[in-house]
Amino acid sequence: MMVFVRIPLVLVSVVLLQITLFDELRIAGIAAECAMGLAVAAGLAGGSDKGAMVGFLLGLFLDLYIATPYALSALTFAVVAFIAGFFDNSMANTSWLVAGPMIGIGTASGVAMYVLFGEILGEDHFYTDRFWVLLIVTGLAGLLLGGPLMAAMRWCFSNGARQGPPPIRRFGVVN
Amino acid sequence: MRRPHEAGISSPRLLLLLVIASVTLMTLDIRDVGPFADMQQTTRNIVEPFRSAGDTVFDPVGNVWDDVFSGGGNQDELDALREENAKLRNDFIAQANASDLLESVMLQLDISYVGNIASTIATVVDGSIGNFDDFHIDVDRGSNDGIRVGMPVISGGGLIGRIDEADATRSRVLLIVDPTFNVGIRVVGSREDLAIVHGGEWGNPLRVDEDINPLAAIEIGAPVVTSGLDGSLYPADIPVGFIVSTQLDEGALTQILEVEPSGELASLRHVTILLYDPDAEVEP
Repeated sequence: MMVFVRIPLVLVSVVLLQITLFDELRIAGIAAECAMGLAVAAGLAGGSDKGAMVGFLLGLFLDLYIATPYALSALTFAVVAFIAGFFDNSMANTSWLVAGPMIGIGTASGVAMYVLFGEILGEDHFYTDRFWVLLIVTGLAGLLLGGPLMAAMRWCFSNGARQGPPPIRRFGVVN
Repeated sequence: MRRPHEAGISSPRLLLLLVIASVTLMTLDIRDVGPFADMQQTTRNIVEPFRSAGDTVFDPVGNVWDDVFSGGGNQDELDALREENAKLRNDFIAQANASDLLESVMLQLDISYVGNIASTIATVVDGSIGNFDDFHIDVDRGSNDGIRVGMPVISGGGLIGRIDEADATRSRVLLIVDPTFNVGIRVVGSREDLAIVHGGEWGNPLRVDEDINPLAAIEIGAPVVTSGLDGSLYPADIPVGFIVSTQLDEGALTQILEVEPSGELASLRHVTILLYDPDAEVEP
């Protein structure tokens, strides 16, 4: 039951941080894609199904504030989290040093996917000559934020009681 | 033992369902379905106090960040020069237009070319959000202040955009540089030449690429103002910009005009929203 309290709390908090704090802290004019990072973390922490659902809801909420086609973030986050859920999450769950790079790479890949979907939908200004800078900055930001984001999503999906190590999942199969 | 996803919707089906839901929502948004837009607005209104609190807390952090990474020490001087430049452009248009509507207007609080149209001053509270929303700003006036979608937004230098979304206490302005932004214009001094100008993205001039008589003599530097024709969202004679280039498109039997916007867009702090209702204007 706590899951249904924790997830909305984390989603709302991250979206508010995304549109307030992280929108101010720009590097080379580029803001960290904290919400995309959270979608990746949701996939890693909860697996494909839960991750995709959380990513979708997160994207829907974020899309209320950005003037791009509504549900474009929801679509991208769901797909990114779904794909992230197929990767081995045991390492990401145990060390921030591993979670960071995984979420950084996932974030940059998600941003590239977002640009692709946007271009398909006719948003011609998504792909610019700064595309690679965008990927590098958002990837590095994801790397730095990966640990806290992973911890937040692990907290969301935990049942409140102390547990042993999470089950090792390789490509969607629980061993 | 059953795998987790076998208990409910299997993973590929769930993803497919979410993709279909996303596409459906996109369609509803593009078609501007009333209840759907209201629901979005209501959600934003509920969260607005938290967002405002976040802005209050984090704006100083952002200012410090800008000072450190963007050489913010010269920003005030740069802003002042930009503002002065915008006012000078406006003055030029005012002199060029035969009518008296554009007379000696310098301050936002005293923009006379809007005639008797009621207006309200708004403060810019946010620029574009994220990395892909390049053509919007948020202002601190909303539907509680009489703001409605479509209302023109001007600065000292002229038209800069229109209201795209109006929440209770905040509105989103679509800037004139957006390629989807269209406005009916006329070139001052050639009243026959009515056309549509559209945005050309940041750093590029606005473009008129149809409906200009290829034989019309249009001078470089000629001011461009809103046409204010029936059905237009905008009242007549709001400065839009200056012609910076003309090119004959023989295939399309038109001239392609490039228009440099006269409104200052780069460092907006305050804007004027015209509480203009085109339907009311049409009424006899």
